[in-house]
Amino acid sequence: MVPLSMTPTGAKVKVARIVAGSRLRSRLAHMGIYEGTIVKVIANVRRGPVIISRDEARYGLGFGMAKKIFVTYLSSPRPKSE
Amino acid sequence: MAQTIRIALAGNPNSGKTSVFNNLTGSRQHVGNWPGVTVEKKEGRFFYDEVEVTVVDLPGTYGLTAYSLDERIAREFLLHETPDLVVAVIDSSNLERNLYLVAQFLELGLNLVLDLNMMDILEARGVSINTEALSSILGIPVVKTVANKGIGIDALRKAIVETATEQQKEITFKIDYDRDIEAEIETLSELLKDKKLSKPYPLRWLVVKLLEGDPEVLDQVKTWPQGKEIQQRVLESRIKLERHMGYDLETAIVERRYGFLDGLVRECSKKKLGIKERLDVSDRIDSVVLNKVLGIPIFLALIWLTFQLVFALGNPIADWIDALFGWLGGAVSAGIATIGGPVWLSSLVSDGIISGVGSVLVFLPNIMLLFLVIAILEDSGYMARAAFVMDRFMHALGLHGKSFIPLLIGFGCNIPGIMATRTLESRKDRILTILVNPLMSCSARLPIYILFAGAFFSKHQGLVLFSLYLTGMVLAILIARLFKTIFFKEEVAPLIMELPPYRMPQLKGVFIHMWERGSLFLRKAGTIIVAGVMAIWLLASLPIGVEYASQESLIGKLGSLFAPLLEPAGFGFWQAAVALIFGILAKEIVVGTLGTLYGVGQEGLRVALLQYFTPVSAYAFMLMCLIYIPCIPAIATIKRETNWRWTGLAVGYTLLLGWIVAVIFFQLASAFV
Repeated sequence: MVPLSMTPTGAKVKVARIVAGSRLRSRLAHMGIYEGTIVKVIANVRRGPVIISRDEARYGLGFGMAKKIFVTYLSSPRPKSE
Repeated sequence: MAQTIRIALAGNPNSGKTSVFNNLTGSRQHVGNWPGVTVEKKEGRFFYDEVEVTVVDLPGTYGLTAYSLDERIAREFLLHETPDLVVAVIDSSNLERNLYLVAQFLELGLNLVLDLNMMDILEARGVSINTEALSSILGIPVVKTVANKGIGIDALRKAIVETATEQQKEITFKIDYDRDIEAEIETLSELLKDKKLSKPYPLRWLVVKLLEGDPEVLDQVKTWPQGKEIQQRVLESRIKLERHMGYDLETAIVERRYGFLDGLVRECSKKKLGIKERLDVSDRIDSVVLNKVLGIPIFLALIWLTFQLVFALGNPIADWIDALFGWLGGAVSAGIATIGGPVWLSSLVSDGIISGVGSVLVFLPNIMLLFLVIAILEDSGYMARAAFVMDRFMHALGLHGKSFIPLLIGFGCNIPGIMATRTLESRKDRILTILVNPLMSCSARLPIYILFAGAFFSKHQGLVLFSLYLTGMVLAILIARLFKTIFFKEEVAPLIMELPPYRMPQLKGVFIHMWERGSLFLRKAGTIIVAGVMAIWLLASLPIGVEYASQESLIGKLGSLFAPLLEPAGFGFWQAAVALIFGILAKEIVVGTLGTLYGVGQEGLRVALLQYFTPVSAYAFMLMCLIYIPCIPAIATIKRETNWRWTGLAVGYTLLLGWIVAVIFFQLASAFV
């Protein structure tokens, strides 16, 4: 499990855990991002925003937000530190 | 017989809802890409089959739980104002996510028509939707539209009127939340069945919302007799279910809804294989625009271009307006003289009203151009990205990435800037952004700088102007940090935003948006400034017989009273005090007031100023004008968006800060120069 903020561009990942309060979790859930959702990392700027796609929607997550979402890899290379 | 019905348009941000609204009603309104740009409650009207339909355009929302002010507006309306019918406008190219809101509407038992908008994008991708199947599963009429091309609008009108005038059917729609959850729903329903509820929500919806932990529904339950008991019971159910499932109930409920929708979409849509995804181009642009290295330079270049454009194009037009009002004032006062009107009347009309309003309208070109460029950046989809580019920087200020847009707009005029904070989700971010917004030097303050910089720093005007804008921004950073530590201890709300695909901005939409914001400024010129100018004129003319705008006039006495306070800042004379007092009405008035008080026109004013100010005190005066007290229309806007307490703080801190900065600058600079 790695935070979304550390995933490389192009990775296909599954949301495993969201470390946040219920308000934020529920906000994300309304947008279709909850434990079990499969998303693709469209762009990841180091220490900057992470852009993910869920189906046709593109979401931008600030760095702070991306740190709170833990994911597991479905495809694409695992970083060496893993 | 003519019948009237009231309907609401609801949907996710960027579902093309505003486009549908415009086409349904023919009204003028903005189509934006900045999620949640529809802030005001907008109404329009159309007739169909002798039925008059009032349409309310609701702000975009993702669900029925209110996060931002926009979403709260939508939720309140749907829950408490019970429109006859709700049109759920959805972006068909992102069907599942958009249907999530529809599922919630259905659970709430709203009388619905489903509008599958942006069908063209979906069809271009080779996907077809079986509307009959969708309609029969959901139990509501389904209409396909391409609103920005006007396709399907008439069918939508027909569906609206037919559905709204029919007898409303019983709610048959139901999402199966699995055995365990369903069992709890049933027990809780049994418990709540006999309660006379304050609002006629469907029982099942109420129970599901309680299980989801909806804060507003929970609060409402608290007020019922036996509310405590019900809350306790709900809590027990939650704990029981969560222990059983091993994760939280909210996620479980949302997941079931999405599960249902996933099945629904599979059943009702067909996709041809081998068609490219639509967002390829958008993704490619994003990889450049949001690039680690290029992101910030691109952003800065765009902002620089914006201001270049605003001033290069705006200033010549501003000069024409200036000339026009100069001529008008002369012509009118000559006209009054020829028909034998009294001198005071011609003075009031030409010196007071015409030159006062003229001095404000001079900024209209700059302001309109700034709003035009901002509208283009918004409609193209770039503005949403800019919030991300600025996110880290804004975090350093203790603000939110999205706060950046209201601050940028503030450079044009603080009023729309303050209003633009409505898209911010957390109250704290909103209030901080509102509080520091007046430090963004709005275009109304520009003429003061131009006048003084021209008179005292003619060789370095650009530099002086830049230093003032920069000072405002630096102070905003410091103040934001300070207020954050004093008033709000928590973390900045994390940023999550949908990024709409890049689109070519449409000329009409861009101009409508520009006009909506710019007209706020015009309205100010027409009301408060005219009143302010007349007040100055009156105070300068009384008591009767006194020399106009002399120290013996009421205004002179008022200024003399405050002047000693300004002494340490280097401009302790009554004219400056009066100009600052009236500047509170609107900052533009400062220049006009000085002109009136020194009894000279624009050209003579420079010479007059040179007698009273030194370069150091002139700069201190500019600093004061930059910082002290927002103008009255801005104060009124702050009050409307917050409360008196925050408004009081905004007025108090800016006054104090302005004075302190001006005094420190003057004392230090005098010591060195």
